Amino acid sequence: MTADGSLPSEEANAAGLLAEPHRVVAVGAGFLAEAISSQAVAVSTVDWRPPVVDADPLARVLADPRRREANSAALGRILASRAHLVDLAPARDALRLEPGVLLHAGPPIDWERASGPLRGALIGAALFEGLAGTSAEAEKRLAEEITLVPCHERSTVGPMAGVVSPSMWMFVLEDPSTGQRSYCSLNEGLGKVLRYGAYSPDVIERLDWMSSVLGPLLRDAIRRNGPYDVSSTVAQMVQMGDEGHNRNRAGTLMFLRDILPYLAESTAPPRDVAAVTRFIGGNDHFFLNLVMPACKLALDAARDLPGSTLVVAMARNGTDFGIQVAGTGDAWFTAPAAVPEGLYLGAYGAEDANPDIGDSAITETAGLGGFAMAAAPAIVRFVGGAVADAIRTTQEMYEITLGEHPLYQVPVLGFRGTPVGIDTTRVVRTGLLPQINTGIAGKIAGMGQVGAGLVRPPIECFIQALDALAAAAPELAVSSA
Amino acid sequence: MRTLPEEDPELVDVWQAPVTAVLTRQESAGLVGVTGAASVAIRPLLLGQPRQLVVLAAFPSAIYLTTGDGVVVALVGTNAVRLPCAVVLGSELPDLLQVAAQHTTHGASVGTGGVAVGQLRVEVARWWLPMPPAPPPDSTVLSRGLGALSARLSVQQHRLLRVVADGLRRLEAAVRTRDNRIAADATLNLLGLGPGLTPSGDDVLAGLLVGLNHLDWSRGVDPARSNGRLQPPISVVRDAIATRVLVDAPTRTSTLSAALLGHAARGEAAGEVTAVLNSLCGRRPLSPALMRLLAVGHTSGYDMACGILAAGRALLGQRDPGT
Amino acid sequence: MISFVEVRPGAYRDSVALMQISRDLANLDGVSAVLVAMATELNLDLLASMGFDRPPKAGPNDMVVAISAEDDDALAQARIVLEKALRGEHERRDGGLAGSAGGAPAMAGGLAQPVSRITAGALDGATLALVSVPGPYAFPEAVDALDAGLPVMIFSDNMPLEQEVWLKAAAAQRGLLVMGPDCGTALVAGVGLGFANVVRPGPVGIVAASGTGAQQLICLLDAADIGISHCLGVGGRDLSAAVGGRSTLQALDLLDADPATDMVVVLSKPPDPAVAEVVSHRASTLSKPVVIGLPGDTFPDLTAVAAAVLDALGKPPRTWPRWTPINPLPRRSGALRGLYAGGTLRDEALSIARERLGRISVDDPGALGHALVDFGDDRFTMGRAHPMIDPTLRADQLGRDLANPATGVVLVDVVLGHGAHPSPATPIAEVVHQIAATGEILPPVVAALIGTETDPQGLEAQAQLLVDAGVRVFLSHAEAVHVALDLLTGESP
Repeated sequence: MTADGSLPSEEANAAGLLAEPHRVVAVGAGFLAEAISSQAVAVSTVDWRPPVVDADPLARVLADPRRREANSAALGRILASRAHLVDLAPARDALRLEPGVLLHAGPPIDWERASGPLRGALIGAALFEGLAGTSAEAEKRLAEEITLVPCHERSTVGPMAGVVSPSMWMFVLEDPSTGQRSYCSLNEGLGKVLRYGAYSPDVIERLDWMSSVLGPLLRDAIRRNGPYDVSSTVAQMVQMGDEGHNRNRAGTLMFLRDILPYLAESTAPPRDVAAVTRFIGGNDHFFLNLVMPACKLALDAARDLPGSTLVVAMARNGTDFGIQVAGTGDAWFTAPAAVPEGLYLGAYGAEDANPDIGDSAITETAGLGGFAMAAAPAIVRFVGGAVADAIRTTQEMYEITLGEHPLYQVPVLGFRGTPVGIDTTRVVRTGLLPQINTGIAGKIAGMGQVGAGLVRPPIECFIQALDALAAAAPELAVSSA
Repeated sequence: MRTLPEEDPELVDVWQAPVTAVLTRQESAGLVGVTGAASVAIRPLLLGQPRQLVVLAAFPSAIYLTTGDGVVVALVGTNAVRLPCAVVLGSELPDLLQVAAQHTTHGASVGTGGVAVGQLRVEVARWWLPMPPAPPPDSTVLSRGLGALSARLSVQQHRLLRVVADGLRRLEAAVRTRDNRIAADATLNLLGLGPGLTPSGDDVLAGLLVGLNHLDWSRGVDPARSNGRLQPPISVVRDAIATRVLVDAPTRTSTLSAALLGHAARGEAAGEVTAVLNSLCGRRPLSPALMRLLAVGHTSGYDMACGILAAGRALLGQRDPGT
Repeated sequence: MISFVEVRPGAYRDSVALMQISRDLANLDGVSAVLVAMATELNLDLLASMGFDRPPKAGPNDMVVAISAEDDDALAQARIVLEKALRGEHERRDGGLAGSAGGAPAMAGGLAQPVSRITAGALDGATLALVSVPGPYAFPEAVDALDAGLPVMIFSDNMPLEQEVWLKAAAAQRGLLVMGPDCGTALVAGVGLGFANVVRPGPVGIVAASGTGAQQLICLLDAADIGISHCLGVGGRDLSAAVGGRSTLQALDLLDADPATDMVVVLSKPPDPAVAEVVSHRASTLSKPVVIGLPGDTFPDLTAVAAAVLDALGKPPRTWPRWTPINPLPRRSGALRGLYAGGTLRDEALSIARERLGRISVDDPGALGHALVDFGDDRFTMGRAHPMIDPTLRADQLGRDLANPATGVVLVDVVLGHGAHPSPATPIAEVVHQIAATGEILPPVVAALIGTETDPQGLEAQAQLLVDAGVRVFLSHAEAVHVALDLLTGESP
């Protein structure tokens, strides 16, 4: 085994470097590949294109003596991670979220630069917490007093606006072997919801019900019956047509199936049990908020490995797209977020769409979502395109990733594991950007969801990350070897 | 992505077929020009004046052609047996049978740098050596290799035909004792013995001959003392067998088999045989090489392996433990 | 006449592919000039010299398309053909991606479907990697190869020195070999990589810092019926103080352990003295005879190295093949003009000719007087194909030198083998015929023909083309140079 886990062919090992080559891999000029194949030697060619970055920082990062082992360790930790749902609790308890602090999706941002849907969600959260009586008052307090912190900095992920306030109930996930934890709020359903920036009274009312009924019932069920194995459900849902980002139908139904007996056994009023099961069953995305923290748990395990080029977070706040890399600590590499391409609900159109928003790209970062598109042919129409596009998307992502996820197997690809572990150097070398499946928020606060579609990160994030990795790598010198 | 069920060889073939052969298509003339890698054993023939060929036998991945006076040229795909008289094409051409069928109307020829059959013209773009580069360094290496070979052959389900086994045992003893007369006689008895395009007796003879050619660890050592006792060099008895083969094979066995025996007499062998010889010389693991040899033909690979084993034992002065 | 210039940012094709497309377009009716190329400085200069407007924003990663046509129809036709050609290339690269789920990979053009990158898992049993992307970008590809556990040949030149050192140190650590960078020729168990002649298997293993140098030696040995086990290129800088002969030392050990190799030849320009010592010490510990061939140092030229190999193998000395025209172009006085595709041969010519002629200008085709030009040098190949594939620049210069009454003799090399032009003698013979047809009196032309009898172009056929044009042809380059000098100085060859 080589350090990256690959097995060189037996022939090469056995007969040494001077054995007659039966297959040569050629990258570059086509005529040289043809000159070899004309000698009755098989040739694999590499579809090469010039990198989108300067050659020097790229070389320096690739030559970093820590890179191979660090990447191998990072990938190993991601693949070894298992997520169990161990508890539910309000954010103030689970996260020790102090009053006057609100979490949000994506890289750091202030009120000034916040987009419509993020502002809407922040206003909604302020109203929900009773920090303000009116939206105008909320805006004032948000601009002046309230501290905004990225979810990612508190082991948390939040879909779309991703706003978390102290009273909101959170899923608490834990890796049984490391004890490491991650958190995510409960999914509110589709339509006019806080995460899409809506803050009308019915939105706040739903949040109240989630805090008073949904959260406690689920907590009791989990506490009574022990941890729920989220990883195992994610592995199954990928084989049932879900990609874990824009399609979570199978996952949600499996969760409901598993949790239902425990809810029924509880002492809660049957009316509440009915409401909870109706709510979960009626919301195909309920399980997304368990997939996301499971992904977060895996990727957090890979953080802080100097020399590693593996991407540990991709997140958007509606204004900026940001990524974090295992080898560069907590640094964010940001660039303006793009507007997703996709299909719109009702009379909405592209002009209503806000730039990309949400921590949900954590699923792609962990090998789900757009990376697992081939597993979810049913959603290709929803996001535009054909089944062949879904297969091509997943296959393309193998080109920028370090490994395959043994748990997330794609039936149509012969149960090949999904591509996982985005390699910064691969992205800038190929110019291929991660494919993200996403919902589209309306750009005006309070508008809610307007569509769903596809988006890719701006390449600048990866170029900055590469430069930072290069700056952290030893200089390549004639004498250094 | 590239892992496929191993039990389905057809699927593997489709997957692996690299189609490296079809480089130029002279559409107007209806000719297909391809390139291949040729054994240096047939270099004079390939570079000489053009000679007519006729098809001896054709399979999906191999065509055997002959000049009519005992010389055989094989066109083979990369997955076919790499005979010592072969030109290996860059890939499995799907229509080699069809190509062979065309020869009745278009003819076939060899010379001026290539082979033409029907509408296919093969130019040589590379040469390879149909023999291992050097004998084993010493008797210990050979002894260890033979032990492994013997153990692996003994667990095969297949066995030599009784008459072939008896003939080989007699020949092996004659080689060990350097008895040229019995060796020549045993050779004659084995020639053409058994059914098939390359009869079993021929295959063990071929294995024995290439074994005697390439496993002689004592080459360069004082020949008289190689076994600690005075003995004539192995080359004397080897030449006696080779002479018998060269003289009698053309009339006692099939053209293809006689041609292959001729190569074996000169130490030239199929790539699958060369690989096993290399293993016995300690240069690569035996197991994968032997697997490939055993896959040759119905029984040919096994038969040749038995011949090689016999040659090795005789060279070490060991007796066949089965006698 | 209408002119069309377009820049395509970020579009990339290798220079040979673009050359073929340019040629196809130029052959269309009504099209007078075409350049489809990467927008390097050299190509932009070329564009300007062809009479096109220089596009304002274009860099080496952009493709520039320039077409000059008689009318709109011809231009439109050319653009259709262009798109088809570019797309055809593209389809081949992307062929079958969607369809390959569960099926066989698409195959076209004699090659298997492109893999996305060099990883052991994607290689289907490959045991060797060949990297020939532009030099500044070669490092990542070579790192991939080593990471996948493969020995790698780096054909690319212009790789920064520190990257070469890093790669060779990493390779040595992992028990792998780096051949190159700037390795034009290698043979591994008979399989030719880069520019490689078709040779028979045999006892001689070569470690070569020079591609064309190795080709000359291989072809001379082949003519003497001596085969090659392997030719391991190490790159022109391997024996410098910085690189320290890392690949050369590894290659020596590999050949020493290789049962197919009976003797070893090390071929290099004069190395760094300290490195030379290390290498010759290692050579002295080998179990096999070693010939250290340093033309200009231990031997006068490559032909002398070949003679030494014959001697070491116990073979008698021999005369090298030559082909003499029935009516050779008559001698005259004037300047020596050497137009080369191979840098090592240019160097050899320089070292031989300098002794007899004195001052000779190097790599400046415009210079007056004696001049030797290597058209394979960087300044002629940035963004263009190597002269062994694209003979245009050299053929143009040949025409000028032949028509120049001040030219006393023209020396050329004609290199055969895999990777080279399908008939490199043709453009040379054509230019000679063309200039002769104008009634000019031509200076003698002497060619070194580097090839073997089984090279795909055909040694005899190529020689015949040249001889028919009145060119004197020699298998030994050193002989060709001496004959050219004799013709010039009036000594009898």
